[in-house]
Amino acid sequence: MNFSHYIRHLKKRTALSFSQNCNTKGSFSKFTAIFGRLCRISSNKTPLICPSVNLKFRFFKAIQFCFLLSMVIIVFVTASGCGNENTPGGRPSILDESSASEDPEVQRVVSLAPSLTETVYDLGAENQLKAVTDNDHYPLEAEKLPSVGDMYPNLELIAASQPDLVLADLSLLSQDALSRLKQLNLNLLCVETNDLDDLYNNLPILARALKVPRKGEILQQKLALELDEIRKTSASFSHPYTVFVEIWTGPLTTCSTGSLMDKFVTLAGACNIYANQNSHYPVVSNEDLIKRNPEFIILTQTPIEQAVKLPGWQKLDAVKKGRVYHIKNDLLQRPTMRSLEGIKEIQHIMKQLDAQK
Amino acid sequence: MRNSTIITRLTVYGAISLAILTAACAVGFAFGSVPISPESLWLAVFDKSELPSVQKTILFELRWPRILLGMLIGASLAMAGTAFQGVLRNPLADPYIVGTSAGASLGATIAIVLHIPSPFPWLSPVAAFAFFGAVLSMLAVYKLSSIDNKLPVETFLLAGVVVGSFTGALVSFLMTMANEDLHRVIIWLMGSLGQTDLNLVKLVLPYFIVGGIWLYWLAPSLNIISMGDENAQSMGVEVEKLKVSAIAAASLITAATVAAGGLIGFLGLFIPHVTRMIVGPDHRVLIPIAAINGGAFLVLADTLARTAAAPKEIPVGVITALVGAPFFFWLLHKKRRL
Repeated sequence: MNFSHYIRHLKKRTALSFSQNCNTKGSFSKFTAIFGRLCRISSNKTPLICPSVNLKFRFFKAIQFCFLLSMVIIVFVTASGCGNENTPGGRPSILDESSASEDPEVQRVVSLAPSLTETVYDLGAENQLKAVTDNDHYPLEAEKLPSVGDMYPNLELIAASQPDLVLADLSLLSQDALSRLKQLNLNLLCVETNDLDDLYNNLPILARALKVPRKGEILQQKLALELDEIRKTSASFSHPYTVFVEIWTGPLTTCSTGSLMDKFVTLAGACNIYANQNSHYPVVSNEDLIKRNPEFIILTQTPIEQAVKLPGWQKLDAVKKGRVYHIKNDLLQRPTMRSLEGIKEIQHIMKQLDAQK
Repeated sequence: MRNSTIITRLTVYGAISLAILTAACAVGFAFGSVPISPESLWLAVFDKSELPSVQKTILFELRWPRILLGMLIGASLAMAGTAFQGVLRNPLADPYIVGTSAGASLGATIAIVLHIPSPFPWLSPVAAFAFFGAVLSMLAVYKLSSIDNKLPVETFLLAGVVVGSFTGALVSFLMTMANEDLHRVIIWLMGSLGQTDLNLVKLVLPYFIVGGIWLYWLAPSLNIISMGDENAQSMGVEVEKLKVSAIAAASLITAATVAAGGLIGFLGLFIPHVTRMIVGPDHRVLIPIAAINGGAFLVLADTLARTAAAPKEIPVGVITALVGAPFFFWLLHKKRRL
């Protein structure tokens, strides 16, 4: 670019800033007209106006390239730098049992799952429990403990309660929260309780971490005995009664294979009419329910008087024969010793049905 | 002030905004769900070794990364919003206008619903899917709206809305199919900085730096294009290239922030407007000042999200709109533009 070009460019720049400042339509159109003429007059291949802008566009490709390159580099550098850390593959049931049992004394326990809180109480270790979640309503004393949030626990409050043991359940904690907890250097005991067999296996681990191994053994034996009895009873019914389990009526939601409730219902010896759906908690229609016509209905949320008024429910055999029962949802939604009561209630219902025949 | 040189304006407004940002960071550092005494805060700033380890964890492992990420996301969204409003010459444009948000939410929902396992512990699959969802939807909108290598603004906005509705419907469909993960999807869609760690900051930072420099580089051209496509063309700006370049830069920044913090709405729309009311329409001043203001605003909003209903956290996206909308309205009213 020669000198005269440069001077012209400078003049244009001042003109441009002038037009921006005075902002009146007349002077602006005059200004663009002059510019348009100038552009047409210039026979140079490179546009005369704003060489800086033109220069910029030549840089775009370079910048774009650098940007893509930086993306690729970031991904690769971080990938190679962190690749050899342990990956959470296969979802282990216990993540760091050994570190949990090394401490000589456990004084401050934080529970991040209602079911684990219940189990801590069952193990008689409630004095060590210092904080729970918002959803811990049982036993009643647990409600009085300070809360650290819910499925997305408040990390500041967890750290502030200075726990020497944090109990978490993989199925009741968001993955993000779990990975964040692991970074905080807390003594984290993470179990996964998907059914009562898991509870059976986890009981001694929890008891050891809480330094009450003897109580763990007793509770484990009790659970084994009760499960045996439940299995015996479930084999004694005349046939597996078909059942519909209500979780919610707006929209009508039930449980299906893979959910805790379905496992309890099956363990009790009943046959869930909505087994093998593609979701654990499918939303179903009244029409389909009438087609499947279960032999009895378990309500966990809605009162019986309300449920029977739902459209079409009067056509159900279970409603006609008065076989609609209510079981508190806590008893069927948490993998704890209390769920044995819920299962026994279902079995009690089916015993009555057998007797009616 | 409007007629003074760009350097003066940048320094004056920059100093004021930086002071606000510093104050916002101090507030965010001092307040949280766990009260921390002023003595401890003093120690934290001046003599870390004296600080009890619990408070060290809370302040430096939990609060500080959140403040950093809040600053980055707020600044990125404000810059992207400014760029979109400038290049599309539409006051309703925001960083999510190109369907970035819809694409990101589709990606995140897919990762949540299908339980995509994470290949690396530092990389959340939800964040990765959200990022690529955002980039893919942006490309889709671009392909849909470009006619003969030109990008008419109206077509572009319409294509953004169309792609947004389509992917939004897919997200709703996925949400009804997998109701046990519903709460995760909803929390993500509302935007939250709750699970922030330094890895997320490291992932967003390069996009922020590169995207910021890129957009600032375009600032003079954005000034010219505000006079209209034909006028800018006649002044030697390669309008179509500029559009593509600015939209690409803004979208990439947005995609990175969405991947890190979920959908944090409204901020990208109203911070550029508010800043424009104060510093005027010159993008050379507007872009950096809007970035600082956006950072300060999000840090403050996140502090409120952490403390207002402790121990529960309110999604920060709720706070930005809840606090931002009345403030924006008040400012509009004051300026007699309504």
